[in-house]
Amino acid sequence: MTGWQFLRYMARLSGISARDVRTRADAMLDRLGLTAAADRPLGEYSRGMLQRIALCQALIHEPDFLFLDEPASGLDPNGVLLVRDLIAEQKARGATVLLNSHQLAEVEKVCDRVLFLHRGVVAQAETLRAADRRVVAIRLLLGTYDPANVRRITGSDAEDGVVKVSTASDADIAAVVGALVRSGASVVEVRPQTADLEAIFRGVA
Amino acid sequence: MNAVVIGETMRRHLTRGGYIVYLILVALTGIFASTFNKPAAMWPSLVALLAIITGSSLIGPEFSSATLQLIVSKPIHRWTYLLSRVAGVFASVALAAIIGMSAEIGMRWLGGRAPLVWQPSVSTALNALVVAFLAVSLLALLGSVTRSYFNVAIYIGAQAALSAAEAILGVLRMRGPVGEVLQAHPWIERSIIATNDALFPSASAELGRALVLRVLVMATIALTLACLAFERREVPYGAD
Repeated sequence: MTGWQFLRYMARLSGISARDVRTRADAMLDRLGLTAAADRPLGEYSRGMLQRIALCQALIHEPDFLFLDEPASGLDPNGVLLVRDLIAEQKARGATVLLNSHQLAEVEKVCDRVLFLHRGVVAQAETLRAADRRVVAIRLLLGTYDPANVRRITGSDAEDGVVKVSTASDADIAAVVGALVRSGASVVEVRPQTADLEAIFRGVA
Repeated sequence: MNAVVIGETMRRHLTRGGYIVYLILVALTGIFASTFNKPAAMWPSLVALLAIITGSSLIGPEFSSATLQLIVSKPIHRWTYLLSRVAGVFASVALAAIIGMSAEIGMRWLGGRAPLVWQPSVSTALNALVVAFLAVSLLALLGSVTRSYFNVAIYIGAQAALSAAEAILGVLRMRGPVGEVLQAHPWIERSIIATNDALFPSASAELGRALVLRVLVMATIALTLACLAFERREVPYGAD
């Protein structure tokens, strides 16, 4: 069975009419970079090409809900970027995408929400939308300061005027900054730091 | 039934060199059979053998490839998929029976070397199809509970075992203490013969109403069990 025949079969099973199959399949093959290999048997496809044709058949009927299990597995860097773009396109057209992956960096780039599963149970739920992300620390850039006061207030030493403070709430941030200013330090910059997935994962594991 | 699955199943057969060669062989056998006085010789057995060959890849091997996991993600009931595959395979076998029968009847009509007796030919062709349908149904059942080509191994193994048991019991019935037991309990031998006839009827006989009924009952049971097994079976992730 060639790639084209496989895609046509899957498209027809997905409910696409015989009239529309050619147009949609050609468009998907072109989008996934498989046009040149469309007439080759699937047995001759590399792992990455099989992954691409599997994505073709999953996307060809524009489903409302997509469950993608390690979609970037076996793909070269171009393929990984393509998958990322495809997921963004599906989100943009209003589809819900459930991405199952062990690649935390990839998940962080494309997902809005993430669930960590541990032994089949949801161990941690996080939102990755920038506006909603949880602040876990602040990074303070100080102009003039007294190292002893900084150590007393933040519990950390400043290095080249930079001190990192773990914090849980906006009130904590205000309290720390206020105390530093009252001690005579000049605070040049306050940069909130959100938890990255790797840090969250370390907390879950 | 799903026309897409039936069509794809037939397309796979019709585009396979081995299948085309087999059809040519059936046609040649039909032509050769037209020289015999006895109608419908040999080619019905080829049709029954084709049912086993094509039925062997009906569903079992799909468990070993990564295709099935994609198919079951499509909006099609599993039982619809299975029955459509059975229909597609059966249609491919029916094509062989039609070719064998047409070749024989056509050559009898054209050649005139043997009497043109189309009724027995048609009757035997229908019998071969009924037998083929049962074989495909049984292979669908075995395929839905096994992997790869184990289904055909079990099918042929069971057929050989029942035939061997029949022959061995026939010999043992005449001798010694085992023979006395068999003669005292004739149901043992009768049940083995009945099971063999029910599961593996002859492909070369003329069509009979009793055979059709028996086969339809057996095939219905086999397909029902196959659908139930296939519905419940976990489809493995990825290829072997």
